[in-house]
Amino acid sequence: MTKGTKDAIGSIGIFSLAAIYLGEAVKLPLGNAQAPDIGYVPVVVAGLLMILSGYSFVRAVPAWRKASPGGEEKPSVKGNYAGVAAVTGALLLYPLPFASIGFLLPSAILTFICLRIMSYRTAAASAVAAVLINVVLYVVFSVWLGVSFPDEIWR
Amino acid sequence: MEGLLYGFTVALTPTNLFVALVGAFLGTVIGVLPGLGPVGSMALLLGLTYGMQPTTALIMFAGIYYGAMYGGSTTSILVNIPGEATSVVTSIDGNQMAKKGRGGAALCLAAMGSFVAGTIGLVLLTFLAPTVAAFAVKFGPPEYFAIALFGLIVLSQLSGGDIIKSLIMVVLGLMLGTVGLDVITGQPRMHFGFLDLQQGIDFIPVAMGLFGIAEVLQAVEERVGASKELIKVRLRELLPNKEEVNRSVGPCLRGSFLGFIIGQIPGPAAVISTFLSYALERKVSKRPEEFGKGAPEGVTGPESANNSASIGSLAPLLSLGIPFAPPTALLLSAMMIHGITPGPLLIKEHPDLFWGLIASMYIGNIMLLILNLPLVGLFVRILRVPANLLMPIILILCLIGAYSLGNSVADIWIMVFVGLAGYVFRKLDYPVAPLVLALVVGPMLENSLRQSLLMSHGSYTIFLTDPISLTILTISAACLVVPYLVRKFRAYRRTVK
Repeated sequence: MTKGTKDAIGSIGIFSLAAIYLGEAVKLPLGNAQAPDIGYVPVVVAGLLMILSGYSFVRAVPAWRKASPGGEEKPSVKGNYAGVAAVTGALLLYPLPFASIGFLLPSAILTFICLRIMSYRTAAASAVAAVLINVVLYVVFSVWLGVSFPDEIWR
Repeated sequence: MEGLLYGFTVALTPTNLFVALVGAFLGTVIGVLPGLGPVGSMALLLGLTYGMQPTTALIMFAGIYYGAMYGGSTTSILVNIPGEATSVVTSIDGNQMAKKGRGGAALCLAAMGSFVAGTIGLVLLTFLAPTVAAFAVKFGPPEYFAIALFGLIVLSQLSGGDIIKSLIMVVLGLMLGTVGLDVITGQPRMHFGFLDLQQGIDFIPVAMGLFGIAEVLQAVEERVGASKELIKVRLRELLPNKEEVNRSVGPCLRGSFLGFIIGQIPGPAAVISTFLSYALERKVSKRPEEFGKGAPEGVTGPESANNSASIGSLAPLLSLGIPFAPPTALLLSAMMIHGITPGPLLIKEHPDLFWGLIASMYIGNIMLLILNLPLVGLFVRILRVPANLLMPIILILCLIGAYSLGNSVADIWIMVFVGLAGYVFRKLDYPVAPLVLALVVGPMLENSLRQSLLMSHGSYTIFLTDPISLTILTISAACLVVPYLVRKFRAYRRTVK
C-alpha cells in the first residue's frame, strides 16, 4: 500500500469517527462561552478532528492519484494476515465465555489458538503449554494476588 | 534535606525495600524483551500493585519503570535488538563492542553510566520538584490549561513523522477523554447508550491495547518465531579497562545533565536525549571516526542521558501533576488508582509518598546496579524464550491486567477494540503516544478551560492577560508555526537555487 493510499484511508476512517462522535455530541447541552455545558468541549473536539482529518485527506489525494499500484514502495514480504484475522476473531469472542464460564477455559483456548497460528512446535505441545501458562497465571493472579475472576464453570 | 531523610525512613522499611527490588527485577526482565517497551511493561505489571498500600505500590511501580528503562540496553548490546526505543542508539556502538569481545565491558559501562546518571538526576529532582511545586501552588486554571496545551503541542511535534497525524492522534485522545462522567457536573455523556462507558474510558486498557495487543498482532503478522543467536558474557569479562573508563567519564556526566534538561520537555524525552547525547559526544570526541565501530562514549553517553531524562520527566508529574510522556502518564494513573492526585500539594499532603518515592529511587538505582551485572546471563537467557511462546503469554497478561483494573469485562472489550485500532494505526503510520497522553491530560485540559471561561465570563482573553499563560501559549504557538515556516523557507531556498 502506498503512503498516499494509507493516508487517504486513515483520514476517511478518522473523519467518519469524528462525524459519529459529533452526532452524539450535538445531543448534549452546549451552553456558551460564558457558561460552557457538557457538550461544549466534545463539539469543539469533534470539529477540530474533522478539520484535521479533512486536511489530511486533501493533502493525501494528489499522492494517492499519482501512485501506481505498488509503484511507490518496494513489495514487502507478505504478512500473515489470515493469522491476524484469526487472532482478532478469537479476541473479539473471548469476553463472552470469559464472563460466563470464567478465566481458565477461554484463556487456554485463546492461548492455544495463538500458539498454533504462530506455529509453536506441535499441536500437543501447544495444548500443554496453553494449559500450563493459564494455570500458572491463574494461581499468580487469582490465588496470590486476589484478582476475582468470574466464577469458573466447575464451581 | 529533611524531607529526603524522612523519605529514606519510609523507603528503607523491609516491605518497601523488597517491593523496590521486585519492581526493579521485573521491570528489567520485561525491559529485556524486545517490543513491549517501558509503557507496555508498566501497564502489564500494574495489576500486581492493586492490592498494596499506595506508597508501597508506587515504589514498586517506579522500580518497574526504571528497571524497564534499564533492561533494554542488554539486548541492544548483546543481540543488536533494542528492547525499547531508548536503546536504539546504544546498539550502534554497544553491539560493535560486543562483536569485538568487549560486550561485558559495554554492559558494565551502560550500567555504571545509568547508575551515575540516575543518581545525578535524582539529586536534581530532589531540589527541583519541591521548588517547582512551591511556585505552581499559585497556578490557576488558565496556567494549567496553557501548560497542558503546551505539553500536547510539543508532544505532537516530537513524536516523529507527520505532524498532522500526531495532532489527529492528540485530538482522538482528547475525544476518548470526554467519554464518561463530565469533570465539572458529574453528568454522564458521550457513552453512545452503553452503560459500561458511563464511567469513562480508563487509560490502562487503552495503553495495554495500543502497546500490548497491537504488538502481539504485529508479531502474528510478521510470523515471529525463534530467538536470535546470543553472545555469551562471563562475569569476569564485565570489567572495562582503564582506557574505556577514562573515555566514559565525560560522556556520562554530560549525558546526565543533558538528559535531565531534556526530561523537562514534553514528549519522548528519553529517546530524544539519547540521540542528542550521541551527536554531542561525536562532536566533542577526539576520535569521532571510531563512532559506529565500538566507541565506549557511544554507549555511556546515551545510556546516561536516557536514565537521567526518565528521572527528569518525573519533575513535571510530581510538582505540577501533568505527565509529559506516556510512562509518567502511567505513573499518574497508578497514583490515581490509589486515590492520590499528584500536583503542587502532593509534598504537603502526602510527604511519605513523595519523599518515600524519591528515596526509593536512590535505593532502586543501587539495586539495579547490583542486579544487572551479576544477573546479565539470566537476563540474556530470557531472550531464548521463543517469541511465538512469549506473545500469547503477553496477550493473556494484557487481558488479566485490563480485567483486574475494576473486575470488569467492559475493560477487556475496550482493550481489545483499542488494540485492534492500535494495530491499524501502526499500519497507517499514526503515532500512538500522543493519543495515550492526550487521554490522560484531556480531562484536566477541559476542566481548566471551562473553569477559566467561567472565571472570565466567557472571555478567551483570560489566557492572554495572565502573563504565565500568555508566555506558555506564545511558546506553544511558536512550536506549531516555526517548524512549518522553517520547512517553507527551506523549500523556497531549494527552488531559488
